[in-house]
Amino acid sequence: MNAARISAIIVKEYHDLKANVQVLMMVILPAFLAVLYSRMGSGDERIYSFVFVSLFSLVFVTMYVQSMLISEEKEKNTLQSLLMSPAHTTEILVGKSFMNVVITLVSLLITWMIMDVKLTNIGVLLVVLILSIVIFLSIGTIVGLISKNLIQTGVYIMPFMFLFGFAPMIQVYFSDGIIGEIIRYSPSVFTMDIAVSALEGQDFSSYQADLLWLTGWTIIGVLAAYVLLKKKSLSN
Amino acid sequence: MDYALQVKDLSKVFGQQQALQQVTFHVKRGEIFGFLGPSGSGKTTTVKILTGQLLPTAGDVTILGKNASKMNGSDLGRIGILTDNSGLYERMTINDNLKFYAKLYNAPAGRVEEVLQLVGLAEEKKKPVKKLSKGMKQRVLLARAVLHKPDVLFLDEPTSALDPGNVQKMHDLLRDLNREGTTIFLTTHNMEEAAQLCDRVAFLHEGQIREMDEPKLLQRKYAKNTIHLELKDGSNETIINDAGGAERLYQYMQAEEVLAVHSDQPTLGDIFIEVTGRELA
Repeated sequence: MNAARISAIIVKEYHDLKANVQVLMMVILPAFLAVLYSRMGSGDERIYSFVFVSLFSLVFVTMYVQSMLISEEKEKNTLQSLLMSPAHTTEILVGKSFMNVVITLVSLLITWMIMDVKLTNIGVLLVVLILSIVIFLSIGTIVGLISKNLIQTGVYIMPFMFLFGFAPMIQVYFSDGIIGEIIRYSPSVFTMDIAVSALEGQDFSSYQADLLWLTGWTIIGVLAAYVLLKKKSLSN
Repeated sequence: MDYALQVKDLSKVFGQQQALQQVTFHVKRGEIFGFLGPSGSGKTTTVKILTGQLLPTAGDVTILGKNASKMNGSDLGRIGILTDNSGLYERMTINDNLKFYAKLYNAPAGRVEEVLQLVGLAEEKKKPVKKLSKGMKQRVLLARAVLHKPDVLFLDEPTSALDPGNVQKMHDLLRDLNREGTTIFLTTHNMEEAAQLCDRVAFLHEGQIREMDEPKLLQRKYAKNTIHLELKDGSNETIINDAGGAERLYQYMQAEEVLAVHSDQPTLGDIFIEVTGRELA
């Protein structure tokens, strides 16, 4: 990996993003949700709301913005120029994701400040945050790459946003059936379960398996995004 | 012989459609090679295969001694590409676009200003790309393609969106680059451009190379050995370039009837029509 090339892509993303109103609007969206949820519930309910709003940030900012950024590069033919440059696929992925990670962290910080929940088990929360950011970046990259243009990306990303953003809620409604069983293995349910358990101060063994599942999902997501991007350098 | 590009028996099939059929040619280092053909003849497909963006169905393609489909980052750093699928960051200024690619290709810091001068956009460098005309965008794309002084430059219809003044500037820029050692592979349907710029040209028609040589040699090969006379009475006369023709010309000249004499050297466009049976449009 070449640090100079990665930093060039990051600087380019900064210049491009600062004029991208659509993306900047997405950053403040979770803050509105945080204001609503900050007035609801107490104790365990409040922890659940806090994690749900954080998950909402990851889905609506990290995944959605990444899919739009990748799709726009594709639509404007700049992705092909990047892939035909000396930049390696990994450098492109890291460079293109960096500013999105910064935006996500800013968005999360705002929601956390609004919701004002005391954080415990910070090490575990940090691990689950990193894994979740990476998996949602990967899914966003994949959706951006498989769709033909920005409009199609907007359509394709919707089921993913619904599925991942509301999976913990869907699971509650369909807890006994096959749908609930499938959704139980969604990365967002693992994220939610681990974060809630960690904030409630539960023992590591109670969410150890979930953490392994989330790690597995993250590895699969990264590999799929990498292979797909690599294949995009071939236009056939 | 030192070749920048070697293509042997290249074929490409898309579904039922044969886009390229056993195309064979080579481009020497330092040469400007013109690939001429009408829309749909296979020019862009060839460029995509040569630059590793498309895999061939059959055949061997070597660029700078390496298989085109196996080029790595440093190989890609030695080539420049301007095709119909080259894009720019619309929200960013011309300067920010070029500075980004300069860093990506490890081009010297002052090179951005240099290419901006060369393409005549130094004054406009702070304009966002989305506010540029099609011709100006094409000039930025060309500036980007030559930023790193590539060893091989692929240009797919580079002057199609430019006005005559800027076409001349582009030609000067390409000649300068070529003098510095850049091999240029140019696809165009502009025969005048090809005749002016190219050391050799190939005519591509329905996925096959129908003719290939230096423009001057092709013009000599397809010359009809006739001379056209424009006479003062408004009539035209075609005479054969031999002893009998010389006698006729002498008679007209003695009678002071000749207004103009035209040789019968065909243009590349004329030759293309003769070889393929269709116009280059």
